[in-house]
Amino acid sequence: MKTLTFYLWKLDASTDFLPQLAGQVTVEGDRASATPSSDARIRDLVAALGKKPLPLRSETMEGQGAGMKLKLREVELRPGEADWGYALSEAIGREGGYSVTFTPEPQ
Amino acid sequence: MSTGPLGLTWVTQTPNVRPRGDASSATPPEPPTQTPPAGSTPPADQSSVAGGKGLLLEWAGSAPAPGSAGTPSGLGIEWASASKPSAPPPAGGPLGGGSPASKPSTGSALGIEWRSGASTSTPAAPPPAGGSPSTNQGLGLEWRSGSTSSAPAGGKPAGSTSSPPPSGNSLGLTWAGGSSSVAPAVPLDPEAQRLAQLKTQLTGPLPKLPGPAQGTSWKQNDLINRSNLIKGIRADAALQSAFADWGKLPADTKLAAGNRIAAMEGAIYGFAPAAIQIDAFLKKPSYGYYHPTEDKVHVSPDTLTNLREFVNTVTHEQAHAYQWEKGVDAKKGRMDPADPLYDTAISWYGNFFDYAQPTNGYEAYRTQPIEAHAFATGDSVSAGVFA
Repeated sequence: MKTLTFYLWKLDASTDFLPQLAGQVTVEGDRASATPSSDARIRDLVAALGKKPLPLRSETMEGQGAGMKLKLREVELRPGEADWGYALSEAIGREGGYSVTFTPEPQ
Repeated sequence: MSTGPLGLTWVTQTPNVRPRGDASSATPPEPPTQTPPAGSTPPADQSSVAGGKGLLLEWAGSAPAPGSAGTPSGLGIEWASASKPSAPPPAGGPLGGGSPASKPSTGSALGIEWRSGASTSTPAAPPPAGGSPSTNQGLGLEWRSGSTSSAPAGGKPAGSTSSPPPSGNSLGLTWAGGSSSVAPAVPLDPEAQRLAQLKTQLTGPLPKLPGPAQGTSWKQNDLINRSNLIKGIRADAALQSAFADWGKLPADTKLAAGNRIAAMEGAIYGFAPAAIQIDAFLKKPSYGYYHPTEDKVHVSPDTLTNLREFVNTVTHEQAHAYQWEKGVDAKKGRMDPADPLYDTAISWYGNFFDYAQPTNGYEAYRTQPIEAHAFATGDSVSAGVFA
């Protein structure tokens, strides 16, 4: 079973709006868990959202290069479905006001 | 004008955006909802608005008969005050080619609305046939006469006190007449006035913003640019006013806010932002798209509903515009290879031609260079702006 880990970054005036690591979440199948060192808000959000169907937005490219259209779409995914972990990362980022990366560094 | 997937696009204004492409398309016309159809009746107690300018020419007359005190103006308008009580213009009045006792002379191609108030407690009769309110022909001029009673005249509030006559204006229109017992006209609906003021602010000049960061690491520069964009949006009074009232704003005002954010992003990152358009025919699950050939970002009306999502979407899609411009610059030799962004810009350019579709695996899609950067931009800016 594939494991997804994502990192959540907060941006506020205390760091001049430069990203500061706020937590780390791992998703395996339909189970999600935050590391104990994560912000309490992140742990709460994992508990609240970790069993729900969630929307996932993505862009599809039609054409290429200068002729492309990057079309933004949204689909709903259930826990355990492929890519549901990404939907969870989006939801936690949106609800908690975090930026999300899939590496331990800000992009 | 560009079109959406269905060939139909609702285009609204695109202020403060410096398009790379066709300059003529940079300032699309106002959405149709902004301009009432010719001959439509403006709301009572509200000035007529035509061509983006509201002009209220009001007469609260009581003494001389209309026509007795002509005041020629630069527009060929002769103003006349009225007798008391004022009566509606007769059939075929000022606009209808009839002959009221002393009709105002227009002498120009101006649409003039005549509303008079009666001396009784009944509202003034509507303009007669041929004299219906007209806001076409470029300028909507509204003529209202007052009465000695407290009855609403043309929708004026009853019982209120007389309003002072307006001072002279740039069009040379002059106020004549007036009565202390005449119910005043409300100059503008306060809400409409507030919205107009907000839109003017949103389409006005940007505040002083820092330019692109000039460090030796593109990633560090990008983080600094992002931080400056967050701070710029948070400090911008016009945007903050719009955010505070987001749920009540009409779509064109929201779009003006989006274009202001885009303009700020362009100024701070150093690129020409793509104009944002509302594509009324984009429906869920589609929210919008960026089209580099058009140099436009199309968003669905649904995108405007949630402020945070809107800010995220605007900055995400503008990040694609930035990537494309820098990628093309690098590829075409317009960027110094020593520029810290050069290698990244080349990789962005290549990514536009080798795009990992989400249907072939979300991970590859989400982590490819242009999406990783665009997601980081949109997520971070929306997180920071609303922190």
